[in-house]
Amino acid sequence: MKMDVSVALGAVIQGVMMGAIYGLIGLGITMVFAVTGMLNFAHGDFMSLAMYLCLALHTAFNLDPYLSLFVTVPAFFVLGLLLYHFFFRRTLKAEILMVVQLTLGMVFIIENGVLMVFGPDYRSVPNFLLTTVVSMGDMFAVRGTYLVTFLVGGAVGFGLYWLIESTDLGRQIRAIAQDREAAQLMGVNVARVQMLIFAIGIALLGLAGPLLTSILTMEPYFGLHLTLFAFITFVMGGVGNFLGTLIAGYILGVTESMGMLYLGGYYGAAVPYAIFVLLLIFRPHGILGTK
Amino acid sequence: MILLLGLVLVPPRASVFWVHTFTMILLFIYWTSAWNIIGGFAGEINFYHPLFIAAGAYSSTLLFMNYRISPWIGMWVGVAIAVAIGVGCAWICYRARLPHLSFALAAMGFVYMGLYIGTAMEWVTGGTRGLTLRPASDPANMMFGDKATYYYIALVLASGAVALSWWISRSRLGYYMSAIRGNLLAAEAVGVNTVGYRLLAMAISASLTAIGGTFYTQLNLFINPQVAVSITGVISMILFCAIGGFGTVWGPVVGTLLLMPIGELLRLYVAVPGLHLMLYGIIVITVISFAPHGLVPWFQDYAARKRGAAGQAKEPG
Amino acid sequence: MLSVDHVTAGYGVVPVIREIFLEVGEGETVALIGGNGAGKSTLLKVISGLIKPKGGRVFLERTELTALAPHQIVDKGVIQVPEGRRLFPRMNVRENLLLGGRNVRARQNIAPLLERVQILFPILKTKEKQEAGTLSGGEQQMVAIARGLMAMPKVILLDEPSLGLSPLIVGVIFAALSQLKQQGLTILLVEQNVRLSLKIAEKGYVLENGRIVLSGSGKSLLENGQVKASYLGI
Repeated sequence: MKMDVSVALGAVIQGVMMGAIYGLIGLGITMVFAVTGMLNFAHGDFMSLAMYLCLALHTAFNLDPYLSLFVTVPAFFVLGLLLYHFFFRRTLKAEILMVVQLTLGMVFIIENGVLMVFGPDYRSVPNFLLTTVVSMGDMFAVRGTYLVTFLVGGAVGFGLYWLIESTDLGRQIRAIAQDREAAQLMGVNVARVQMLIFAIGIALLGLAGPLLTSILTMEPYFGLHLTLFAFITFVMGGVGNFLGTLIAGYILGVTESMGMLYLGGYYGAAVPYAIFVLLLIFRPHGILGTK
Repeated sequence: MILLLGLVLVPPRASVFWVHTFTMILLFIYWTSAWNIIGGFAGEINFYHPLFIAAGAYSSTLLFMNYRISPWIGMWVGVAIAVAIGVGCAWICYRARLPHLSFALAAMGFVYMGLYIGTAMEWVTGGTRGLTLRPASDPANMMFGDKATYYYIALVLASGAVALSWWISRSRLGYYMSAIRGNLLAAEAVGVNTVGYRLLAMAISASLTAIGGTFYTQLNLFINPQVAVSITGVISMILFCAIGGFGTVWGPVVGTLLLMPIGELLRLYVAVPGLHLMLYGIIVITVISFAPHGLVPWFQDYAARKRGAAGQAKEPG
Repeated sequence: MLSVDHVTAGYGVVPVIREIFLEVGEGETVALIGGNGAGKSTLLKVISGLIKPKGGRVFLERTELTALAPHQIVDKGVIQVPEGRRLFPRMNVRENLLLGGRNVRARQNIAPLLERVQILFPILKTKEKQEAGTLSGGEQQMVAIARGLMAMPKVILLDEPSLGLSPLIVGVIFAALSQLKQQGLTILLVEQNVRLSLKIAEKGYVLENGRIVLSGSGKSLLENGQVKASYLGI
């Protein structure tokens, strides 16, 4: 029985660590929604793309994912700018429905592109921390990879939160989210902020991807899962509440790991989704309400 | 438009392969039209259809395998379950007042949950190994020795769905749905029961889709959770509908007929997995770049403009 | 300083405003009056760049504003205090003011600007940290005007500042406007409170069904028979 507590605690810790990243990915989708009003169905697929990119870099140059980070983050930022400029800028003006078609098309392109290049099998990317284990006292040990993920994820997450709350850019973001027209009257260049936020959202995925290569196994079609997880944190956090999204990420991480621990297999995988459904029924405005 | 109708009515006396492929294509036209009722006409993009297909497929198959109830009857159980799922889940989402596109992702949440639980419940669904039916010629139990019969049934289904779409588009229901689709808040302000009509559209769509699910199983004699609850499938349908034009009667037909034959050919002759799906994605992005509302509206616009120009040319100066 | 030259604009096929000609000189206060739906807010939206006109042009001194984006027009110094206040509800008073002062010219002078508006409306200091959505109507209007002032306007456009406010508060607002006028601010005032706005304005325009039907000095319009009948209920 005593071992159970330790194991459970270990699962919670693990969940918290994953939660840092879930929150970050969710924040990307939340910010983009708040500022542009669109939901990118291909969100998770970009992260998948980042992960496969790490795999390619590792296979070709033996580049450790943690170093690939320095390549993917700026690359994805630029990618975000380009995508927004060429595809989404006009779409948002025209009709929000087009965003669905565009992003679903992108889902198919990315997922199947990856399938064609890398094959359907599960893959993962090794990195130098894979075998490092950090012990916290007597109770349990945490794998180095999880720790790094947590530290970086948490830092960036709360860094972004600070940006949104305390800087001019953050005020612009919140202004657009609360009243777009009034923001324009304040001299906010809404179009530019929208493009910037979208690029940041994609860049965040370029960050999360490499961090998660050591923890998650990849398969070509799991991008939609990730989008869904991001979306769950988005709704759980209160549809546009930035802090709520970060917190929801942790909740999601913990419920997932507890689910896997106690139920295992497919039932365990269903737990986060079940929690989501319960939330929709009993507390639809999210854990912190709309902001 | 009438030309298209003529084309489809010509039944091919071709090889089994082609008959089967076109049966599937007709089935997809049917399913895409069904999706169009809630997704296109009512403007409520969603991913529930895999669940409806599974409801139809599993209900009829399980009832047949365990209780010897004919799929012709079991089908209706599937319909009932599908409607319950669709209306129930949608109602939960409407209560939660999610923003427009969130409805779609919430649907995906339900679908994945269903997929995982379904796969886990091996004693019911057969897990990934699935359920297999032995082929036989048994019309009372929806099994036909001759593949061509399946083709004709699929043709009937597809035509029926298109006819229903046409009828809806001209009816009061269609009118309300286009109001809801155009501007939800305005429609509510005017007093339209937006939730009620959308749930109705969902119910219609769910029923049709479930019937298709039963048919699919009888056609392919195999079902498992991955196949039934196919996210790839529903995204393909949405893309076909997008290319043809959301909310148009012929959109689903045009989109599916344009893309799926090429896709199926690719899938079978070029041994690169997933290429056909990637192609669908590329084509969608290309098409909506110049025809944002789909090909059918674009063509109607084009025809109208040509008629307008011709009319001007006819008028004396 | 600000001139509207034969502007025609609307949202759909039918224009809401037609052939509008209007001029606001430097340091002048100009009133634009008219009933509901006459098109007053539409005109302000055109000036601020939120809607592009179907015809006509807008000038600030010699610079044409017509084709510019809204944020560029703000940078040029044409600032609007929109109808219904439109404060950012979940930000506090201070943050709203800071947003007002974020354009290129103003952001160098944030501290002195803040001080000035706080002298004009003392509650801006006392309620600094309060969420804007929780303020009373009158308080919100004060914040809205102050927010506009934070932008260092060359011309300030006020859309119905007295709307929904009690006579007492309206008096306070208009007293502040007088003060600003005396400090040399150029004001275009769109109002339903005809009496107060014509009293404070050098010039006035009457907008009916999308067209300017009358114009003249504030005083002469106040004594005009039609104006008296239609808008003053006399």
